[in-house]
Amino acid sequence: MTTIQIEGVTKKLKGVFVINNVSITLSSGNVTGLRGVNGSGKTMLMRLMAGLILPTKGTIKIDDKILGKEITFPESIGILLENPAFLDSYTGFQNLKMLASIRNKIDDVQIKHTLEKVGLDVESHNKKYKKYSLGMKQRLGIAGAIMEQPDIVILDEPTNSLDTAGVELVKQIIRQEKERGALVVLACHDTDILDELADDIYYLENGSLVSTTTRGQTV
Amino acid sequence: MKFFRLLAYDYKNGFRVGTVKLLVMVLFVVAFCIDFYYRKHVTYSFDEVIPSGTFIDYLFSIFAGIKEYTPSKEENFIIPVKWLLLHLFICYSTLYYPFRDLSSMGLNILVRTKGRLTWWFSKCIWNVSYVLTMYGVILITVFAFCLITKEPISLNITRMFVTDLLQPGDIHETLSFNLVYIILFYPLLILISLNLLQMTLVLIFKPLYSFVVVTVIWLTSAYLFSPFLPGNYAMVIRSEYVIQKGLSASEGMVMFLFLVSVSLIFGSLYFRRYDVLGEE
Repeated sequence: MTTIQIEGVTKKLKGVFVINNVSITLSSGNVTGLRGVNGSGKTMLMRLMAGLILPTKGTIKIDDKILGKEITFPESIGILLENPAFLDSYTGFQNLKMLASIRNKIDDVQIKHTLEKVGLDVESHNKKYKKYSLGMKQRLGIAGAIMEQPDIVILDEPTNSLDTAGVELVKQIIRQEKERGALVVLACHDTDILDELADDIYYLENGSLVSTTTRGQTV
Repeated sequence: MKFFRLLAYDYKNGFRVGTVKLLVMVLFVVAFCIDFYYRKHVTYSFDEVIPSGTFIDYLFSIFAGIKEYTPSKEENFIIPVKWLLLHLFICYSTLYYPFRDLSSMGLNILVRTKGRLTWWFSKCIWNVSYVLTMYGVILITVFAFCLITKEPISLNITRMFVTDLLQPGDIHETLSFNLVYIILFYPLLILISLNLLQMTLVLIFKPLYSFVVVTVIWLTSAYLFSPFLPGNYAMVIRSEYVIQKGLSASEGMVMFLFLVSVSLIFGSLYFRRYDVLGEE
């Protein structure tokens, strides 16, 4: 059971509050949605949860361990933040293999299986990343986030650049991740997707939490 | 174990990005060698035999720099273009990789490494390795040039070239063999230290501003003869083994250790709290 406890977190960057006194608790087996306009603080909150930026005030605990003090990054996390970024001259498979080499937890077969799962066929496994379409890049980014079956999956706008079939596939993947018991954090402009997939939706405005929806109930 | 996997990633990725620059360095060095070769031929054209330049003579000419400059109305400051170009090119070559890596796949790599220090030290080792490789390319190119032009592969410094072509000023009667070590190692040490400093500065400023800071250090070093300006130690012509009141090799070593320590300690402390925001 993985939990993320965000307690009174404030983040100030260049004198501006990008996150302002946010407190929420997230737990595994749930999909948490983040909603808000551009610049509302969704991505910043995700970066905070991933340990990429540290709070100016407040604490973030992953399984009761303070991020930035007791642990540097969550033990098991997969992220897709904004636009996926891989190495141009490597194929999709090579990129994931290089990424997987750090943890050394999965083999080539599992990497290929994940590529197929996100809808990248065998031909595209061996295609250079620079020749990928935007949709294919997005699918590869999702594959990179889920391939090691992490406890925490953070997906920032995962449906960007995807066609209808791609969006449906991403929805299916998110459901599978939830069923697997992962803690999924999802930021998406499409309110229908959030309503359909998220157990809790947090609405952010200028870095502050303005409302919470728990399966139809607005607080 | 993760550290070595990360290092393997940096070697693979960082060197892949920098391969073209290694080839450009070959072209630079060939041009510098040709320049020395022809200057030698022009200077001694009235001699019966054009004296041969050894392997170390060529290296000396590349890393010589300019003699001490005293600001005055009579003498204008001449920028040591070759020397500056070489050092700035190496600094530029290592400028973007660590920063851009954090804005691309490195972000995913970083969260997988568990430790920020692991990432930082891996980038430091990559940086030093890249500078060493650049230096290796310089040595190999000079070596190949000497082989092709049938110049002697030797570590004997020809004093005549130093006085006639490099014109250091108040030169010693005999040149100590220690000068060979200065030529071979000091420009390298100062390059390593300033490259690490630049990488640390990238955390605070943007890469371009860091490069500007390092450029100013190199340029000021050429303009002012001072033991406190590190670039002076990379100018072989200003060494105590070349001129009477030259810069001490031990002070150069202190400068190298100081810059490396400051960069590593400050960089690792700063990166522990560094906000990874990507290329914004």
